[in-house]
Amino acid sequence: MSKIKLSQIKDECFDDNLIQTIVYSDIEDDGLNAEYALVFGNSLLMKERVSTALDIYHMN
Amino acid sequence: MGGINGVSNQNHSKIPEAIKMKELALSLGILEEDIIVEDSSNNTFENIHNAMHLLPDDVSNLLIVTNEFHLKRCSAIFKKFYPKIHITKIASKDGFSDKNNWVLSDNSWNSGRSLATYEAHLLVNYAKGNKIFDLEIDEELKNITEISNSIL
Repeated sequence: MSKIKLSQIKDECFDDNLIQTIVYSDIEDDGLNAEYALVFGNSLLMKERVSTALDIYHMN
Repeated sequence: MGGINGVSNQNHSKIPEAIKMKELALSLGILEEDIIVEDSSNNTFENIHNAMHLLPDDVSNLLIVTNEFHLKRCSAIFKKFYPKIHITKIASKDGFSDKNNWVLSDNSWNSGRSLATYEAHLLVNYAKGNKIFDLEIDEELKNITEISNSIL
């Protein structure tokens, strides 16, 4: 399978498939072992983020 | 458990997002002593660097909690600037900008599609600006039509 670097992608190449690959590939993770959690701010999405952090907090 | 960080570029009130998030966290039962606030950043890049100044130098494991569309850029910044820290990515699902549903929305402001599209351009610009490593992606792309059809 051939690869392309992010910096080589031109504006005119953006389509749904490319966006899916750039943004959403390799984001799966497992395990919750950590000393701290960083919850990123966003005025419109903070409820979801804090709620997710709360679930993790109570797991700890 | 760690910090509540905030950026303010989409926040039109005078109260930093981080403060609002702290208030929300407190109202949900998180103890104040378990919260660290970073309220001076204007974007993700600054947010991470400022937050790292607030944490002990010997921190080795961190969870990052954010929406799915934002995880890649956050983890990529850590990989470049804090390579010794193990990052665990935790997705906050919102039902409209997630991996399996962003494509279903139109391109209106703050839709899943607009967020994902903007994020893709940001990742490319971050790579060009040396803010993240110039990641390689597979040219043989997964067909997004299959994804959207699978949940309709």
